[in-house]
Formats: sequence, C-alpha cells, structure tokens
Amino acid sequence: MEPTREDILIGRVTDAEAAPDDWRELEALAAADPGVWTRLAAAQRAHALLERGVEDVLTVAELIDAPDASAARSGAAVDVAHRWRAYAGWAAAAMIGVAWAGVSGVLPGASSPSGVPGAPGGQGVITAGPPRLAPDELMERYLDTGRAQGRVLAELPMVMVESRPLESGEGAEVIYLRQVLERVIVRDMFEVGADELGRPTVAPVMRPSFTRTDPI
Amino acid sequence: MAGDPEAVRALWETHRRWVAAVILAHKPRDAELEDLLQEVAVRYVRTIHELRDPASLRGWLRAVAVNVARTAGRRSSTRLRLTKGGAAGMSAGVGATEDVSVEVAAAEEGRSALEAAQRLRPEYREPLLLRCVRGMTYHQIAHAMGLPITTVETRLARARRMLIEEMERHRTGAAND
Repeated sequence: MEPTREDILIGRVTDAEAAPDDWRELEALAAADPGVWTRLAAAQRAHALLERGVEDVLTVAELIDAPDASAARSGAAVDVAHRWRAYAGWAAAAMIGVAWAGVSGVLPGASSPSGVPGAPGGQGVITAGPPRLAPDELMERYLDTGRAQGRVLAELPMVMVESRPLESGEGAEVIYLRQVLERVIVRDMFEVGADELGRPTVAPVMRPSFTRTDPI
Repeated sequence: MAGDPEAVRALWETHRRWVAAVILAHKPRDAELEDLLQEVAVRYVRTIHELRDPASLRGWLRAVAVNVARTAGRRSSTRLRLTKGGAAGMSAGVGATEDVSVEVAAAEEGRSALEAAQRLRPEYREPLLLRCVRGMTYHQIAHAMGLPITTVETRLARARRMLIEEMERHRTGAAND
C-alpha cells in the first residue's frame, strides 16, 4: 500500500511542513474531489489525538535527569529507579495508618532544619524558606531539598480527583492529588489500629517488612 | 562538552523527550518508560565522551534508546503502577466524580490513539511518535533515524493512514461490543 500523492500532501499539511506549492497542489486535488478535505480533517484529528496521548505519556521524561558521572559509573542512578518498588511500600504503609517513632534522621549525616527529624511532610523545610513564596515554589524547594538529602525519591504523576468548568466559562477548577515518594530511616514502627470497642490503639510492628505491588 | 557536567546535563534535557518517544515506540508493553529512560540517561553520561562527532548525537542517542528498549523485552517488570496514564500527568483517580471534564475525555481519546499507534509495526510507529514530540521536524526525524527525508515522509503518510484505519476499527469494535 504505497501512499498516494494525496497522502503525502495531507501529511505535509498536517505536520506543518507544507510549502505554498503543496497547498496549491492539494487545493487542485480537492477541486476535483472535495472528499480530500474530509480526509485532511481525519488526518489532522488523528494527529491531534495521538499528539495528546504521546505528550501525556512523555511528561515522565521531564522527571529523568542525567545522573552525575560518578553515579552513572557506579550504577547508583539506575538503582534509584529500581528501588522504588521496595520504598513504595513504606509510602503505602503510611497511608494505611502506620506511624513511626524514634526517627533517626533521613540519611546518615543528614539534618533536618525543622528540629523535628524526619517529620512527615517536612514542615520544617517549608517554613524555613522566605515568606510570601507561592505554594508551587515552596513545594519545589521542598522537593529539591528532599532530593538533595535523599529523602525524596520522586514525585509521581498527579491524580485528578475532580474538575468542573468555572461558572464564568473561562477555564476549570481542578482538584488533584500530588504524590511524593519518600524514604526515611526509622528505629521502631507502630501500627495504629482500633480495639473491639473502636478505641484507637497503638501496637509495635514486630516485623516491619512490607512491599507493595498493587496499585496505590 | 563531555568534561562539563552542566553541559552534559543541559544537552540531555534538550533531547530526553524525543528519546522517550523512541523508547515508547520500541519497548515491550510491560516495560516501564521511566526505568528505560533512566537507563539511557546513565549510558549517555557514561559514554558521551566517546562521541567524536557532535553531529552524530541524535543517531547515537537513538541507537542507545532502541537498544535499551529492545533488551528490556528480556527482563520482566513488576513495577507498581500508580496511575493509569493521564492528562498532562494527571489521571482520573478513585475519587473522580461523575462530573468528568472535557479535559479527561480528551486525555482518554489521546490514550486510545496512542494504543492504536502502538499496534503498528515499529518502522511506522517510531516516526509517527517522534512527529508528536514538539518541535520534531521531518529533517530531525530523518537525521535521528538515519533515513532520507523522503522515506520518513512516505512512512509517516502510510503510518497515518494505518492509524486512522486502526482507530476506526477500534471504534467500530467498541460499538459492537
């Protein structure tokens, strides 16, 4: 199935590669067969949809930076991506009510500006910044600091929870979840549960080994 | 350049999107794009200093990406999936209400189009996906793939026609289910 001249011209127009002569040639074809415009519209629609799908998937590329040469040589950078599976378990454990105590610091030698080592949410890091920063800037600062200290492993794709058009007709309100994959070193772990009367209880987790493999 | 870490990093940032598109075109379905792109980034940093001709960077990067993507087929991946794709990094999550926005619907259509493209043969799939990366011209695609522009143009024309047919087939199939 060799492409026809029409296919080539439609391709050029769709890809914004058409020269004036290409347009003239396509218009001449369309004068004889108006179905050309329908096929052009179909090609443009297919391209727009595919472009959308590809762009959405490729947003992940922005998260992948070139590692330092020393890390690349040792293979450490690759390990980070593969270690996600194991560490994701800790993030999931936090979500189901596991509390930790006696946090010994993010990483050996790392310190927390908040004075609350390993405090969930890293409040100390955020409040240490200059006032009047926008939330996004503060969040970026938190992520940068977390990455530098080894606490933040990655920011995962956002999850849209809800969206609705604004009454003004311009734009939409979007509610979404931001997910940050983090790592901390802890001495002890406790599980928050409930007794038979529904009262909250705290019990030590004897074997703190957990790996999540199901979708969060 | 190879001795300047900042330049190496900046160059990677310039190219990583289209490199990701190449991986997407060649990777097995169960391999994770992030993992493979990370692996290409590591190989890039390790060996960029061996590249003698800067003009051959695109072709070299593509070769690395294709190699990493194809060899990934021999490894199994059990990477947890946190979200199912999404609109500009977002996806409809568990708590999504019935008030699904036009934006989410468009993202769904985009995902469906990508799935249709991924059913095409690699020689058609790759230029088609590369063309969807912002700023990739026929000339740049031809350069990266080591093909004449006319060949790229021909493949794109055929690929697009096959894509439309594939999307139509999928739509018809879904309507009949």
